[in-house]
Amino acid sequence: MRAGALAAPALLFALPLAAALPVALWLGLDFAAWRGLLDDPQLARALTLSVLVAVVSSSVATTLALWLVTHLHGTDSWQRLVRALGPMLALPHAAFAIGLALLVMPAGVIARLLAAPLGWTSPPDWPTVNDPDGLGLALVLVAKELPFVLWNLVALLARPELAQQLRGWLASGRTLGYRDSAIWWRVLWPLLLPRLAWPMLAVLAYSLTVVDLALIVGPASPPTLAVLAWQGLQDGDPLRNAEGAAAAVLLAVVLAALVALGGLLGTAGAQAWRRLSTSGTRGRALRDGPSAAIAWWLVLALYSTVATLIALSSFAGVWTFPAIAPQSWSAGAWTQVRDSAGTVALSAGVGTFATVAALALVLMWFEATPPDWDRRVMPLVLAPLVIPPLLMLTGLYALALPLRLDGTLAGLAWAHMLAALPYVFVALAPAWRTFDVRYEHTALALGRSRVAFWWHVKRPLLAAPICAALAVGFAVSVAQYLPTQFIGAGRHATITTEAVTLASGGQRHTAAAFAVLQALLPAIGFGLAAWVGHRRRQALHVA
Amino acid sequence: MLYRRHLLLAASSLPLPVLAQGSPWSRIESAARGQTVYFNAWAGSERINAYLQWAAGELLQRHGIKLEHVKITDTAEAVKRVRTEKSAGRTGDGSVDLVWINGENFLAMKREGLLFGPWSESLPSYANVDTAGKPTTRIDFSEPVDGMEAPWGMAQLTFYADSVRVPQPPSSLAELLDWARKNPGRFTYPKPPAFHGTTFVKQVLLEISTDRKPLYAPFNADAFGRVTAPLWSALDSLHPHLWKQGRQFPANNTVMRQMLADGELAISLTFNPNEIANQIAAKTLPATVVPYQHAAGTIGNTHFLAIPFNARAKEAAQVTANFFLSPAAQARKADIKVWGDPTVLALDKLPAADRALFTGAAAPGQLARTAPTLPEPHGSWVDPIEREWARRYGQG
Repeated sequence: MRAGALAAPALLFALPLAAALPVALWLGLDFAAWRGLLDDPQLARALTLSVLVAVVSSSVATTLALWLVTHLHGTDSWQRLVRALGPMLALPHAAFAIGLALLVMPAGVIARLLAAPLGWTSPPDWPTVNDPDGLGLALVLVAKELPFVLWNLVALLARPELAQQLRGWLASGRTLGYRDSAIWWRVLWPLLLPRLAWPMLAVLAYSLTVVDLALIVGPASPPTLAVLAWQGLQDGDPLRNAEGAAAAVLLAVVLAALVALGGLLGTAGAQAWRRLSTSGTRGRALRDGPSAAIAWWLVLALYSTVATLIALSSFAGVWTFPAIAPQSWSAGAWTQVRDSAGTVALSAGVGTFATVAALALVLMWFEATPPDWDRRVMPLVLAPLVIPPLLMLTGLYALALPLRLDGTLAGLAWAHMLAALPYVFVALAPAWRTFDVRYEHTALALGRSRVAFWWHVKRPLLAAPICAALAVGFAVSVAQYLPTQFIGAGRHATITTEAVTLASGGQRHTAAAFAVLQALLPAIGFGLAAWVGHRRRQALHVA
Repeated sequence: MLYRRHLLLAASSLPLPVLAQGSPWSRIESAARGQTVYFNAWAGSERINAYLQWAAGELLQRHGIKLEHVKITDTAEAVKRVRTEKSAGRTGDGSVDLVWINGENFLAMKREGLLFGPWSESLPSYANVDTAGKPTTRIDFSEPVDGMEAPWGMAQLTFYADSVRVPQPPSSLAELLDWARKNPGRFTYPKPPAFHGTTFVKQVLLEISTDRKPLYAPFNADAFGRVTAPLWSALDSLHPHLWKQGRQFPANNTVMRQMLADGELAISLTFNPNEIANQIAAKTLPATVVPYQHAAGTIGNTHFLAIPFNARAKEAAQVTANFFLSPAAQARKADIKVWGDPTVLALDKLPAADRALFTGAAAPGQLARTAPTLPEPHGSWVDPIEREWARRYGQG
């Protein structure tokens, strides 16, 4: 029974992932390809760019998140911050990048607002989008990774055992005359940061290896190393393909090196920090509270502006610089969207199928194993979040070819399921694993079968977390770019591949319309999940 | 009798010649019914995608063929897929049925035996192709077509400028250089190997070189330095006056179109003389934008449809190509409101009713004067020129 329930997750998830990596490494270890890659005049700069963008954007996003929590935790703004995180996370990266570009590009809204006072008639020479130093890309990454880091911090601080300790530490710090911010920086963060290793690793890996964002706002000549690898993998020439695979291996090596370096620096830094923190000084009386609140408002304003701009731009016709509003309006972009209704349907269909399949596999695992097994499989479950997707997909594509899964809908749904499963797992584990076993004992004692208990008791009680996990998985699937292009063999367009292709093709208004959809589909999913959760709570109260 | 006459009338109103039962073509047509054609075509333009959606509806209705547009960003992707399939031994059951192609990609597929054919000249619609007036329909980048691909549309390098900012557009390379000096940062071209960028580089080469002859023969390594020297010195003097001082180049020409619409650029380029009228109609360009060509001529060519050797739906692919060559499909494609892609047909070969399909009303943004067409250099020159360009300017 247990073996049967474990066979499906093992065959459909664990085995392909475990096999993909060695296959990709084997493909990427071709001598001629490495020589070609190392001879590529773009390599040195692409590598430097990727490392700088990844390190700078992840450190800035993390520091900003720590600073915000330090000053806003326990204040009136805290609950508002927690509530805002959901919608911010649900806005897909590509949609956000398209909207942020509309704000900061040389012909963007900020430049247009400055044009009248400064007397500009042509857009300024700003290095904000597709700039050679990757500033635009770093900006998008900081703004989009910030809510992710914050969300992880919020989840960590909300753990019951920790919440109580937290109050204790803050109380004893205060009696010793330390201000709250000093207690956070000197005591709490050094204790808590090691528990954030996984999310921080995920942020670094994402920033280093992202392809779709880099195509939209990243530098073009040379591009980042991830884009260089992607171009190679897509090329018509087999040698260039091998160079692409080699570049994907290089990305993984660089990531491993950065993680090792980060670990060393972290240990050394922690020691130095301890000496500094235990010096006994109480610190200057900085009043960062108000500025943190203002900074948070700015982040919120940025997200609302970005969302508004995508919607506005999707209806714009001619809009020459420096006009603040479009000179003409057009429904052309939305006509295009209507004409490609199949694309929208495919995104929703594949997303639904992949998420339900991921849920089924996760439930099989939960029902067949004791809770403490989770920790053992966690590295495998989280692997897709930290191993460069380019590398993983090179291997998966090589596995899909002989199985004839490339270019098929089944292959596409499978690839999306692989991407969605880790999120479904992480989202569902807390609720499922803390489910009170006494319900089950009671039901079995009353002579009900396990299946009947599962269907009539456990499923309804856990309906809200199930729906929430489905919504998360669906959002992840909708936003997938690389798996769609790779395993779909470029045959199946989703709203995300359309948005990225149109945005990098300069078709701004249609790209904006697809970005709106890209944000809307997951939002519908989250809305449905919230509605189900609400109804369940009401039902339980009545009962 | 009456019944038969009606039938004949109905048949003559169809865009395709209806052949007698049992002819090779009607056998192809009946085999095609129910097949799915995976058409790999560049998908950077919304208008083109919309045209293909229309074609898909017609094909399904008229021939029972399902046309699936496989949206690719570079034709080389499709070439790669066919090549990979060939080396993996997939000689039937290939994933590409029809591909939009020309130039070096056609050359590669033809040389490596990746194409099915010859087939194109036996299509019923081929009879109307203007092979005399448009010689590039039979010679693709100086390479004989030999029936291995069917002509689909015509293209000619066309510049465009906002007449508000550029009242007198430059009519030669020398004038363009002069204009760029006076208006720094307002012109650029897509980074080769982006198709339009490479075409601009070839245009500069053809305009500046005194001896074009070697360019129309297969690539000659010994002549490369001598033939291309004037090109590099012309680009060296142009680049400092380009957008971002020529240190960065846009990814493709649709990005440039958006930059011109924003006001970031004042002059841009396209390969479709009707694109400007089309975009003005779509409200993506202001009505003050005007297309023009260099007076001594600009590069022109034909784009084609080819069928890979291992295509699954070879019959349906041929019927699809034949439909695309029909007066109705060609006229709709040439319509500025739809796509504006010039036809490959000889209008004087068509019956009056079909010819009437092509008389679209004049639209704002149409090309006033057409310059002579300069034929493309042989396809084998493209790669060396692109590599040398990348070596000199591509690391910015």
